[in-house]
Amino acid sequence: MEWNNDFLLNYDTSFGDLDLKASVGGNNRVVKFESSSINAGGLNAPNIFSIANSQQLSASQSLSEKEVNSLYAFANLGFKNYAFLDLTYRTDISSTLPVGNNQYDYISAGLSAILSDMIDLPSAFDYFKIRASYAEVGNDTSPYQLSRAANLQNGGFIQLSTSAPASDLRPEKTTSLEFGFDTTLFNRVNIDFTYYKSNSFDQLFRQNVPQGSGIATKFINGADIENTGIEAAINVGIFTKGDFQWDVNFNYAANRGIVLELAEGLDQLNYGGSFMRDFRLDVGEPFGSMYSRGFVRDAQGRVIMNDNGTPAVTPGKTVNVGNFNPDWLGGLTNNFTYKNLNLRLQIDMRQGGDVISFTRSVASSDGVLGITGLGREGGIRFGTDVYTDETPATTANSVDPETFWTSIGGRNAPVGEAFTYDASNIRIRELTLGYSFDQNALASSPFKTVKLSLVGRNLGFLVNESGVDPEAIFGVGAQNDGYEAFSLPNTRSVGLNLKLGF
Amino acid sequence: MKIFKNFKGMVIGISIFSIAVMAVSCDDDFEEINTNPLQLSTDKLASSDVLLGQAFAQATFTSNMGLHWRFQISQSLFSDLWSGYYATTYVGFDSDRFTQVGGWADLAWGSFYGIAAPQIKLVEDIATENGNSVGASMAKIIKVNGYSRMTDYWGPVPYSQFGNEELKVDFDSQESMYTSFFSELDAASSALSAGGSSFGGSDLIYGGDASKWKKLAESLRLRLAMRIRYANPSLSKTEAEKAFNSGALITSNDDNAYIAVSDDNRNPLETITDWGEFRMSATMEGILKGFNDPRMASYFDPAAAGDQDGDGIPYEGLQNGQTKVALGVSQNPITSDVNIFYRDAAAGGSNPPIELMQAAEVHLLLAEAALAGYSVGGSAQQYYESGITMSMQERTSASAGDIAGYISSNNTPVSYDGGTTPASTDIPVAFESSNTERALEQIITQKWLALFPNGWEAWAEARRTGYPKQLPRVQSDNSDVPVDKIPSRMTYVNSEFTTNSEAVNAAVSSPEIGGQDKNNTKLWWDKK
Repeated sequence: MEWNNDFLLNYDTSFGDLDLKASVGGNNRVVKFESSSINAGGLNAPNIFSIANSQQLSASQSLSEKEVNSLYAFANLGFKNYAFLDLTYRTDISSTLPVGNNQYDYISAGLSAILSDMIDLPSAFDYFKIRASYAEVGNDTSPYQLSRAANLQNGGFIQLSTSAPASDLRPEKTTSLEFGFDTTLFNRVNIDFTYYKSNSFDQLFRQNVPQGSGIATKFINGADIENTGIEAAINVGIFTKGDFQWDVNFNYAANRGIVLELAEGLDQLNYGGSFMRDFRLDVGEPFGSMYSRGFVRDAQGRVIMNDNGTPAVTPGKTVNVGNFNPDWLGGLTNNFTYKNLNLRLQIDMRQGGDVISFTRSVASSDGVLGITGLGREGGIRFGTDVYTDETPATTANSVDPETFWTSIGGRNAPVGEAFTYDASNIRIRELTLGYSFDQNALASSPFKTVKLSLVGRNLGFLVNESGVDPEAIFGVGAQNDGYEAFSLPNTRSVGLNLKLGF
Repeated sequence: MKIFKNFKGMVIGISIFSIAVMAVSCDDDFEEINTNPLQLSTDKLASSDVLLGQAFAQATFTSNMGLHWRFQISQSLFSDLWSGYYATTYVGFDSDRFTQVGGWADLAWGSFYGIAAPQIKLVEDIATENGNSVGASMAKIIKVNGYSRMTDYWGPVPYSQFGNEELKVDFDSQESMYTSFFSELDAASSALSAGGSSFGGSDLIYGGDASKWKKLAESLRLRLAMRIRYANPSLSKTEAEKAFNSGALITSNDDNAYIAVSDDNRNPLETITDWGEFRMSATMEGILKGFNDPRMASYFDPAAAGDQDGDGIPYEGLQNGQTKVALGVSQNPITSDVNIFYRDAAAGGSNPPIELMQAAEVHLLLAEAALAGYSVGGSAQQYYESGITMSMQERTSASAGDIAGYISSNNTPVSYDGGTTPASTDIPVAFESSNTERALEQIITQKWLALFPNGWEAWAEARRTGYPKQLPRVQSDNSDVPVDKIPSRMTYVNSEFTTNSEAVNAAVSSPEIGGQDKNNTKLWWDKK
């Protein structure tokens, strides 16, 4: 349940070339989740879905409540309809933070100007707008983090919570700075460009501490994680001649995340993972590093070999095997129109970033990948037959493929480095061939427009090194990025689309 | 300014004022809103013996890996296999080929340090603070039991620094931990001598009875004393004799330490048997069949597909360390599952209580003590035979005559596969007092049978004494542990290297581990 009490007062006025719109508001927000469930494990009499008919009843209940009081104000100042200044201010008081340190406020400011209306620009510029903004966002946390709980368990046992209380939590804060422009050139080229830099401070982490300390995790405030990037979209009308028209749209996005600071006295932080890999933040390193078991290497980077022909591997997930973030993402769309026919081709590109495949790890130890067929008679050699880009430090003895693949693959202690792939790929995202019926032909029908299209989506990869679909990751959230585990690949779909307009 | 001259401006001003007042006054309820009424907080535990008792129940249950999956990843997949009780039949499990699967070991470590240990400390601290000396002593005994299990797996582990809430928690040497265990047991045992009770029905083992807890303390002392027999013979002798002279050992089955279970908190073995991932080992089959042991039918069930090796007896074991290829075909129908008594309730099982310590083990510990020349009021043979008798009486319905016949029998273990491969050993049941080493093998082999299904203790004793002699594994995937050996310890877990690296690295380079954080590095007490 969410309960909001709001008020908002607006003020609107003009002085000469200046327009002012100002508002002041307040909000009281109560968010409350309550759930209780009763589960009937098996029925005594079939098909009677009644609690009284249950063989084994189990019940659970949960509650979460928080309240936030806010005050805010915003103003928009316009000059001659071509320059605008937006200012906002907000303060929040949250019940989830320690009393005495539970208020946080944030501001934003934005300036935009349509230069093409303000000054004389070369005639090539039909339209040119620039913008700059600065914004802060604050955040509280979830309820009940400030004291150590003792949980009631089924059967009456009482279990101490494994998280230490965080009695000195501070609100999280993110600041972002953005510059950009929109322009139209020669009546046929549109460019939209943005540069941004955002910093996240005082993020709340659940830090893993030595379990011998009496707690497993501890909430801490800290970090300065900086993201900088650009986003651009370019739309070009390549040419128009008679009934033929060709437009090209290209968009591009690149982001760099870097960990500038963690909490005091902390220069690395594990924030989750699986049997296959952990994610770790290292001060001064890019955000998104994945750590797994890897090959043991000598000073020259050559792989140390075991006598039985398998590579030596690290016992812990201590090798940085890659980063899940791409260098850049791009999309290219070509749109051709001739009379009533329309052909649209969208190609998506991803450059850089890595993906770890749990699927390939398990499949290799089960001997069902094509490569595991190699050397079933006579054995394989590391560096020669498999992992040919690696150099063994000593002569790699021949090993039977079962021993080899079960030693590095599998489910429980896989060597992630051996199953990390470049996630770069180029895929045909969509191909559409459409036909719009003549309006004349529709005159006697009830429809204004009729368009029939053949649409193919995810038609295939033009380039893909990884052997899996790098987009088919395990789930959402940073902890699942760059991790592929028996995910269904995106399906190819081909369909007919009929669009009727009335 | 113009804005404050009009009516709207007045309203804004008043509203800001009133909302600001509201916001400030709301602060008072915020503390209450941020307190979960469905949850207990730790301060409430201190004021109620009933609540503290339920926390103690959880400490008892979890420090013996009471929950099914915690039991599986800590005991069933490691010591139950390495002690030779069972062999893995599930193709995805590698630990029967001596691979210490890191993810499981990490969870096993966390199951104790993250779940059980904070609980034990909480109860001991609060009981001590409240002047509840019986309750504090019970917590100490559970603590010694829990930490001895951990150090017997890993060697040096965090102990004295546990609960410091720091980012570094030092490890204690195994030697110093054992010394501390004995003094903790001294304190508990002497406090419990005054009698009394604590936690009542919340005590899952003895219903709060201080005199019985004293027996558990002294029996545990005897177990730990024999464990250090080869590492510190004089301390071993002193502590074993102290345990005997206390006159308070678990010598009768009436005093056996069982942890009571319920429908909510079940015997973990009972739950995981449903998953069909392990079966009787070949070593177990050869010993039980060879001895014509009445416990065979109490511990195991006949193979579903009947007799496989042509000996006319439908109990069948599987050799440990099967390859993935062999396990690709299900071995379950042709091998013996644990007896229905231990199996899932839905399959007709009985959800039995969890064995912590029994009279049979105490008698067999005394047998070894007598064999070592300790003064424990009887001969090795007397205790050997009474130990077997205790086990038979507790675990089977064998008659006094059957038991006497068993004890004097010259039966020896047999081949598990009808004679294709040799038996694991040639010791008979009848005690051979003339040969000290064979007598030790007999005592430990019988203790291994009596301890079943406590693989945690059986693996420790197998490492310390080398008994029972086990059949070799089919395959080892661990270059440190060949097929004819068993692992000597667990290597340290990944989470310690990420969260407590300085301390764990110091433990690795400490004399007890000597820089060799490996599965074949012998623990401090492993010095035979």
